[in-house]
Amino acid sequence: MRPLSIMELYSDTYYIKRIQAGDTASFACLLDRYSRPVYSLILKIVRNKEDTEELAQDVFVKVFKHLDKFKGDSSFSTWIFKIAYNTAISETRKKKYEYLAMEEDVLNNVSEEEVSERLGYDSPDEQTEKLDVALGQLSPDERAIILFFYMEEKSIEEIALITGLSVANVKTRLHRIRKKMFVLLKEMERVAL
Amino acid sequence: MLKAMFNHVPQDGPSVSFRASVMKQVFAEAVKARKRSERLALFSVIAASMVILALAIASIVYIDIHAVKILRPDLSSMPFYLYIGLLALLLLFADFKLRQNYKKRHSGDVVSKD
Repeated sequence: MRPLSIMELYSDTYYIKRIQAGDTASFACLLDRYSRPVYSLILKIVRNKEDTEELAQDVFVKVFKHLDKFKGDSSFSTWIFKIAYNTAISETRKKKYEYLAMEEDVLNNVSEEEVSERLGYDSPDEQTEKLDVALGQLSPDERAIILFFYMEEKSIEEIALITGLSVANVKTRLHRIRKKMFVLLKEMERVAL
Repeated sequence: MLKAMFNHVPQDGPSVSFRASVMKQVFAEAVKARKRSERLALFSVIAASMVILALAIASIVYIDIHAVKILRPDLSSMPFYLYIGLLALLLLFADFKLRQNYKKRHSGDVVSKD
């Protein structure tokens, strides 16, 4: 048998193989690796700490139960984020919230440079606070898409795999979400002044 | 610009008990899965046995395979063979006793010759 390299030894695939061979305790290694990003993503989508803890637990139990269905077509992180995304979005559909809708004219009426210039005077903490408020105005799936792109640094193709949308659709939606964020941030700056 | 802003967003973590709680559920799920697979194996064995039994019944009843007959040996000449056997044993016993007597009688003759 070929000896494993260090990279292979600590890879997700190595732990998955061990779990599938009956070593259930190895799941703790995957849990340690993904609990924080999964929890953070769900919290930012559902925006409720009590629900997030329960949903994150559901996600990991689902991952364990369906581990045999992971064929390695995508990376394990993409697969686990797909489960987390579906779980979180299903939860938000149960509770009907109202989200901000914007006209196309409003979206086209703002530029990144303009918003960047205005936000340039804010401290990083103030910027983070404004970003959080702006994220709260988006719908859960819009929040998920922008978080995957900027926080998890997923590619357009990976986001398409996670959300089940086409690559072209993800590109269009990402463009609109960014514009929407700029409008919201600009509006917050205008109110602050 | 958004990328720089997102870089400052802190990543929230789950509670301290989260890991233990998930692992407890995972171990419970592993036990359930093992029992499920054991039940499935038992069901497969029962199903396979039933199929074999059904095929056996079908082959006897419908395909007209005759049942295997165990042939009994003919025991009519058994007393004769028993008589011959006993007679042979009796003669062997008589031969044994006669030889013993013969050896006793002639054992002294051998010593006196020396």
